[in-house]
Amino acid sequence: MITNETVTHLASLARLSITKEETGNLKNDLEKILAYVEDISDIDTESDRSDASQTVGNNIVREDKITDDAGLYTQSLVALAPRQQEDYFTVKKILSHND
Amino acid sequence: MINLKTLTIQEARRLLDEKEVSVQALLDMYLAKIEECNPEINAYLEVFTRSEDIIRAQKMIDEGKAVSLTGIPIAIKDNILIKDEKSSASSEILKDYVAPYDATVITKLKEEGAIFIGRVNMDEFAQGGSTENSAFGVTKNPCDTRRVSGGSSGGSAAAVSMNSALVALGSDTGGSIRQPASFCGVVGLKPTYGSVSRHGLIAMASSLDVIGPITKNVADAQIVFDAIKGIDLLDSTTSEPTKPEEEKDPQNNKTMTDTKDVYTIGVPRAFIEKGIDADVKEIFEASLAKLESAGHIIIDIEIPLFKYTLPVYYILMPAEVSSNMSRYDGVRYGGLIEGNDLQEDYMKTRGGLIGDEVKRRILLGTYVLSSGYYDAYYNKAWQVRKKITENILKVFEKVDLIAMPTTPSPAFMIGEKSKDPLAMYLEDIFTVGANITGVPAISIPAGDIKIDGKSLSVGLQLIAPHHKEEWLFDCGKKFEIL
Repeated sequence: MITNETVTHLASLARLSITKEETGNLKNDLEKILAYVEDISDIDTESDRSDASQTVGNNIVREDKITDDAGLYTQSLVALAPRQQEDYFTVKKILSHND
Repeated sequence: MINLKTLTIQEARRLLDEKEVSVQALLDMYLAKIEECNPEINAYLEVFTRSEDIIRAQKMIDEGKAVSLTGIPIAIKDNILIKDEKSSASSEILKDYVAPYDATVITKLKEEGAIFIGRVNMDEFAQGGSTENSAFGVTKNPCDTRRVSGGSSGGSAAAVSMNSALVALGSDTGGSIRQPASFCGVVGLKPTYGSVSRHGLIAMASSLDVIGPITKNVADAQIVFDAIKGIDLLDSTTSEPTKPEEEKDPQNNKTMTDTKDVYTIGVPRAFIEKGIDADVKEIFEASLAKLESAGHIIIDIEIPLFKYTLPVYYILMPAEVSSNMSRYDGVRYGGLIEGNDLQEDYMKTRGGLIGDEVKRRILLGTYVLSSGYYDAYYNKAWQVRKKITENILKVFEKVDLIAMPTTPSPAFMIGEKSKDPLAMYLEDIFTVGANITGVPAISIPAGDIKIDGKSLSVGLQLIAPHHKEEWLFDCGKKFEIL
């Protein structure tokens, strides 16, 4: 059961502000879509509990080695940030004095 | 006089190499076409001026070093990064994002001397089947401008269809290359998952995404695929076909062709029958009859779990979307709407700059991944995905290819499905199977349906085992001339 509260909670987990109107619409959409996808519970998958993600291929590992010169991309990447200072991204203070 | 409607890569190659046309002159013809058609169709978000591409290509030709794509104008989907060009994934949140590096496919195309003509429209973050989810307006179908071009690679398909690019790159997560190709009357290839590097493709659902070409004909799709495929250290999921040593040609280290004179083609009739337009079915049956008359063997097959591909897709895809979209936080790149604290920055930025469909999928993904539901949805869907893959591999022991229509109906009207997400999702019913199982598939124009005096194109979809693109190309080329 999807309620408006479920949608508000999910939106908070996903860090999305949504309006009241959006909440109602999303509740209806999510209900319909979940009812549709629930069909898969018909299928017995108990007999095989092996790692299904192998289906798309094996993990390919390589040596954990830095191949680029240090700082090669720093400036061009930091320059993309909405707020930056020297070589850093700037964010608002997370803890206030009261915390 | 060059006819852009019928021009192919091979013919353009000849014209360029024999100096019947210069790189600049060929490009100018396409630019004129964009000027003429784009104001109405809205395929291009931006036309590039990249004189360095033109100079490099002309030099390669003049020095006799031209390769298959040297000087060929290519439109690039707005989610594939070209260094120093904008790449927005048709989203408000990336509206002003300028790529700091090249996608691997772009690096490869630069080595070929290809010309990047512009970036083309798509559904926001490749999420949708009509380009109606673009933050920059819908791309209309050149065959009938009241209708959608399909999606998410609608701009790519329309650009080729309106003769404003010889080739376009798209990306396919659940049908996003094949469906718009079918709607716009062009060829679209979804390669084997991992055969083309995803490095520099703005991620949607990482276990499903693949880049592929949209072209005028099958031979052109093959040329582009050969240019962009291959192992890439920057994408650990890339793979190549494994072949026994004796099949390798010692001379040039290229694998030998393994095409067939006669293909056994399986048709999952029980799966297709439901919900398909009578006109589409008629064209599909006629296509099968043509293939049969050319000596290919058509047999009925059953893929018992195939009807579960769409439900599986609409669990796994949003789960991956929700994690991939978490990077748009207003901190590292993209737009920012300021709040009172960091939490509010996140909420406002994402709430204000991300579109409705993407939000819907983020929440759906968050739901199926949340504790208490994870096993019933996400884990279960992976188990079913595995079973479906086993299903299809079993079918490929009996047949070489599987044939299906690309879509259940021709291009729909703009606005017809935009208010009903589930109706839009059902558009993917015949295409998601190839993404869920990772196999390659191609959509080839198979016929037209006449509605209101317009000709609406319908595609035939051929599906092959992993890394057997060559069978798709070979059988596809044979089908084209029937």
